[in-house]
Amino acid sequence: MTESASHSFSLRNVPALGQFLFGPRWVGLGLLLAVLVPLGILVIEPGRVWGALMGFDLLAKACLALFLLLSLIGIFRAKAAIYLPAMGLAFMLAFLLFGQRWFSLFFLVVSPALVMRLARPRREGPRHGKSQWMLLSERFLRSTLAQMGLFGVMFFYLITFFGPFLWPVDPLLQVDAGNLKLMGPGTHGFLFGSDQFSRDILSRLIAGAWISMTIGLFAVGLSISMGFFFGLLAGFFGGWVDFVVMRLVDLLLGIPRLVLLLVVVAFFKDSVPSEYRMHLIVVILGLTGWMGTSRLVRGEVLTTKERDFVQAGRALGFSNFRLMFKHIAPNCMAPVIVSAALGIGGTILVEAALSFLGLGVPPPTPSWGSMVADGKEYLTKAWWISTLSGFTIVAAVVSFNLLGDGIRDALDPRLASKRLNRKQILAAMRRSEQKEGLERQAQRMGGSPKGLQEGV
Amino acid sequence: MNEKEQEDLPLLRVRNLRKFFPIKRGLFSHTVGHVRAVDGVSFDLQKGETLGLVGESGCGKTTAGRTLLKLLPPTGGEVLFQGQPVFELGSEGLRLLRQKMQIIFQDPYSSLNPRMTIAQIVGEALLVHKLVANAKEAKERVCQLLERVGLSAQYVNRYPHEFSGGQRQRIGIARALAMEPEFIVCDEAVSALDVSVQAQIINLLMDLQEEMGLSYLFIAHDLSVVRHISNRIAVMYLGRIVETAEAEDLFAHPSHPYTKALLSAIPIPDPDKRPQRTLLEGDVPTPIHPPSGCHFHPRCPEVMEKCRIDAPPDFDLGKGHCARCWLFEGEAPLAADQWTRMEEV
Amino acid sequence: MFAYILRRVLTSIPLLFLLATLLFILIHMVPGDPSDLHIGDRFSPEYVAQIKKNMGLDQPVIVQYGKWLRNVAIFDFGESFANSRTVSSLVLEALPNTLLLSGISLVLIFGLGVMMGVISAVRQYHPSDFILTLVSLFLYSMPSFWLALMLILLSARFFPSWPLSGMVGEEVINKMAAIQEAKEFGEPLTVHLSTWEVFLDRARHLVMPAFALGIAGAAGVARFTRSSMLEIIRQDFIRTARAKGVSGRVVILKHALRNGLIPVITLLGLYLPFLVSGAVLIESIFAWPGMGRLIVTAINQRDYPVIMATSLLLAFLVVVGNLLADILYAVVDPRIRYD
Repeated sequence: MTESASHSFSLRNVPALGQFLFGPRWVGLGLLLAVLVPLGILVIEPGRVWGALMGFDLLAKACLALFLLLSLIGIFRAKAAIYLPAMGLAFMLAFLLFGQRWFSLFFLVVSPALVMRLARPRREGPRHGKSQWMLLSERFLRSTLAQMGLFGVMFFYLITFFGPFLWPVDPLLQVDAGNLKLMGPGTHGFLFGSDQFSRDILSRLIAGAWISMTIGLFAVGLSISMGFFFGLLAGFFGGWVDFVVMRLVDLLLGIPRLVLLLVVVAFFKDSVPSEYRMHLIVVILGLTGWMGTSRLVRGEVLTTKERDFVQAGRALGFSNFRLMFKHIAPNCMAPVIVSAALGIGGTILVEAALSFLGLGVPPPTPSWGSMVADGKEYLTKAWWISTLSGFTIVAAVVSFNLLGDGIRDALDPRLASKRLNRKQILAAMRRSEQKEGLERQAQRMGGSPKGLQEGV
Repeated sequence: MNEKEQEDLPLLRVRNLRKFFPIKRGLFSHTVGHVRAVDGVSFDLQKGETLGLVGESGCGKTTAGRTLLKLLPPTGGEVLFQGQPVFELGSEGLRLLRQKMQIIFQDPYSSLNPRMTIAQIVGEALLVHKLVANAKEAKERVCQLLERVGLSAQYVNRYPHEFSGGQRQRIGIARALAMEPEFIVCDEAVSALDVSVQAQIINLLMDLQEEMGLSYLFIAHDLSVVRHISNRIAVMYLGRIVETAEAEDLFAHPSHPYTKALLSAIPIPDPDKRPQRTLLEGDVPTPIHPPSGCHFHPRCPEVMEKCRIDAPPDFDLGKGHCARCWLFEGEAPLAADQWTRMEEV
Repeated sequence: MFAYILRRVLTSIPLLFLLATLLFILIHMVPGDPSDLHIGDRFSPEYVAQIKKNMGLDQPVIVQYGKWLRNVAIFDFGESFANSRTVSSLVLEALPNTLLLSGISLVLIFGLGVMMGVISAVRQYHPSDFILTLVSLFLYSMPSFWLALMLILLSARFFPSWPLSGMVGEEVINKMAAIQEAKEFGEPLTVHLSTWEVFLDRARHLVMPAFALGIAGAAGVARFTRSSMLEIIRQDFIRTARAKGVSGRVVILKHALRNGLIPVITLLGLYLPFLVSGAVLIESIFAWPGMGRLIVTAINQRDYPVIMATSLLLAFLVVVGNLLADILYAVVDPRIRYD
């Protein structure tokens, strides 16, 4: 790609649309949705925005889901880290200064703009090298399955965030308890059917998304941080620090997570008020999920520690602190990211199990697991309640698993070359032939090749 | 010490350097033995001189190089750099000294941090040790350094994986030069490169030596390369230096049986000349249980009864040439503080 | 190798000890004290004080801790709140059922999983590999309770007579009751119940729960086995065997499998906690009278002694299982023997 590409307009360079048409399809699709959904809401249902139907904490919690959505986009464009805190700050200010309604408006307008900004294709020029992140994302995007995983995750977080604007009916509303309970999907305006209290399943599924996504995000965030920290300590210092940490890991790995969760919730059920139930779950899940990450990080640290550039750092007189955090740690992030993606999937499953047993987030907040439990009694009469709820869980977890697998494959140097399938190889060959043909043509015509590039 | 004597002091003085690695076995990981990687290495290095350190793989030369910079904790011995005892310095003193003693590594693919740009890699030391005022100045210095090692300054924002092996070695050299050191350990710095690229890097190193008055400890296993760049050469076997001499002298008059065998193994690209190959019998013994007496005695074609019992000291063969072999018992043994110098006789 | 096994056993014992301690800390961390779990605030303060004294709660924590450890060692947790049986008898009655279910599931997980993984590895790039990979991805991402419900749904529709809950079928129960009565009243036996019938009955009841419990694990094992086998297959010694003319199947089964299976055994230890957690859900759904169902019922009934005992025992099971897995690993991997 030459510098000329920045001056001439090309559909390829339009964010979101460009990626959908030319580049990684599924990523483009997700980005398009991220841009069109808020705009669509503004255009089609402005009343909703104005009605400000969201409670404060629902909105605040949903904002956090947006952080993740945008960071996912940002992961594939370096330097997104600048945008996230700035955006967070802007949102908080808007909320405080202007209140809920204006905030919603502001939010719906700003987020597509942000997505467009973050998603613009990055050009490689003489002033920027290709960093490891860019290499990783290129390799990641080669696999269609991985792209689909990324799309799935983006989709679910979109739903989480824009949910309150999207659900057809209030999820807590019993539409007509006398007549409209247990209606099948597609009847009476219930796209996915209604449950035994005549609540719309689809709306409840959308609302349930934020429980799973948020718990997943925070619990895994906690366990990744802890795991990284402990792994770094154990690997870098070795000796008795390593010994103690690894024994702790062994101990905790032997505890069945669900059982521990059950016991804790059972014991604390009466003493902890129900609005903090979610926090309790997040904390316990976080505290029990860090072990795998710490082992992986410790392994990476041990290998990285011996690499020459670390020795060079010591020869150059860098402090241990600097070596640990600026040199070793960034090179050990790889397994952590895979762990995170796969971990969120696993956490969603555990949380669903907990809700299924009735010990999750207390009603009336809808949660996917509790919806499956609700449908248990009506399994033969109203199969859609359990089936569709469970299916949503599967879809979400599959997305995270595909994402995690995709990142892991992208990181594995051995698999790097195998991912190109026939179609991609042929496309690459065609492109290089075209380029040669163009250059020859231009030379013949005596003009520069630049002008002809876009015409073909 | 007056100035004259200070000038006469070697830049680097290594005495009896030892580095052992413990071997742990058993239920409670107790130490059962030691790998004697470096077993009493001594040499001097003058300012502006290049000392080549050669030997087979596993003889301990890389370990010696890293230990004398205190990158590995030493087991014994003394290293004096510009008169200061390196192993006894506190962390602050060591940090200051480290600015003058640098190292270039063998593997161009792991010696640069893949997540940092060239500018950051080469310039980091400048910023950390506050040798420049700000990042902009650092970048300017980095550009200068890159030009000096033969790379274009426009590469400054690129990442290591975008360069070839030879270019990465140049970057590594630039990084080592950033602090304007006086002494550089070249740890097999060219062994991983293609032959043509090797020649370029060697010439670069020699030019830099002239420009900046550097001194090198050049560790390698390829004798022909070492011959080109070194003033003096030390031959190492199983943790000990067995022979030291000026470069041409070593090739003209190899004295220690091991050196003779090594030299005879160098391929000569002339089909008509068939050299006498001295084939050594047996395998290299393990550094965990080195043979008694002279370490070389099981494979030495000229072994004597005495060699199995006592380890020979260094014998002075004149003109700065010394060898650790009982064959030269007639010569005067080398005094402990009298070491080889370039301007001898 | 003995040193290795001895070392593993020695490290497991403090682990059990630590687990018991952890539970003790957990109980005492709950706001209020354990006696609050016993009673509500319906009783007079004097009565409450008396209860506390009976439970030994007025004594220093250390003494309570000592008592707790003693109780754990002899497995005496007092009486259940919900019914008048002792906790130990309840738990020990449920234990073999859980072991049976988990055991069968384990066989399923590793048997089916390894098979699927090997087939996948051998037929890499074949459409069947692709399909198997996708299928196992979905199975792996499914909540086990949902899968159980779906299986129930399907079987209710297509195999209406297949037993879906409990461990013993009605017929057998009736027969057993009849035999019991006959014994008590000294009447001649008119009903016969062969061991085979009992066995078959139990097996039929096992199928669904074991499958629901095991299939997700099998998918996970299949994925892992596939990548492990792929690594082995690429290695040179396989190429050598093929070059020597050894047939493809023998190569795979004899040479590759033995090496590729070793890392899979490490999975055994890792999967045990998940197996136990899964058992909790599956037993609840299928009304299988094991420890999982016991703990869930106990939670709903606020039967704290039972909760404590069951959770402790489940954790112990995992530790013992890990130990056995490690020993198995030592037996199989010749490299460990010389540690």
